[in-house]
Amino acid sequence: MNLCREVAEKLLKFRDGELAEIEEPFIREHLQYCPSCLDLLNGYDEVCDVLHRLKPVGMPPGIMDRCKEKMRRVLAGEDPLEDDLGSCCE
Amino acid sequence: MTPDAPHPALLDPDLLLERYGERIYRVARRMTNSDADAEDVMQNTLIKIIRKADSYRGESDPMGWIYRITLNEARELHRKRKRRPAVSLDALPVDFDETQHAVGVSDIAGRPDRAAMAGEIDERIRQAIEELPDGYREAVVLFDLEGVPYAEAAQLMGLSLGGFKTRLHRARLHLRAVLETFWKQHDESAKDESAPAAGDDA
Repeated sequence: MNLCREVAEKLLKFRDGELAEIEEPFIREHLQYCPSCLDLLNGYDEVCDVLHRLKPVGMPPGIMDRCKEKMRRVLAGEDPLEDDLGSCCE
Repeated sequence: MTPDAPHPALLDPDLLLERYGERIYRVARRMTNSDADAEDVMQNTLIKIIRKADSYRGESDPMGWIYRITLNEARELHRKRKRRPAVSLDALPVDFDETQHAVGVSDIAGRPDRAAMAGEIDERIRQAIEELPDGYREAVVLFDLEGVPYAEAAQLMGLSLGGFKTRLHRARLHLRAVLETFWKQHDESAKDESAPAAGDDA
């Protein structure tokens, strides 16, 4: 069994506690003696921590007013748009 | 409100902005990593919502529908901007040797200088998210940044739950590799700065 590859493929499930009962002990044991995979897991956790702490960038001043004005012009027919709505809104 | 009537918040520009404007901007900004591009995406999204409000027939909060329009607008803008090709995540972004042992993985979580470098790390990760292929970027933005649950995010993207998790997982592994490169470059430049310049001893 290629445990390093298996660990790399299953880190998300491992963190979420979604591994099959039979798989989890193998992964845990592997992490005890494989420093590369332990670093991989800790690095993966680090990325998740960074992502969770990333604060949204604040809205630039005036953007709500500009959006409101743009919508007003479009609704009044003063600012025609190309009709390329595609399937995203169906 | 009846199931056949458009959602009232989608018909009134003021209400639409008040209820959803901030979230639309936040997703647009996270998808584009640019104030100007995020504003373009936001404006186009709002206009499409107003124009297509009649086609939304859900009784519940239309945020899922709005997310989908926002993501599509961001994707369209990316295409128009013809940004450099995104990284490929077709393969698992981890190196293995011939015995399938993971190689080249370093400890990025145990560094004592992590907190001091948090601002630079955050910026590097923001850039790296913007460089992800569309579907992988959307998975990270929806689940990790916006907190949309797995099943809902998968549905928004038209993926199976397993397909969604595979994208999210590979994107995170890629971001880990980006952080690893960040630290290697940081250590190399620190070493260069501390090394005596050539000719100092002359």
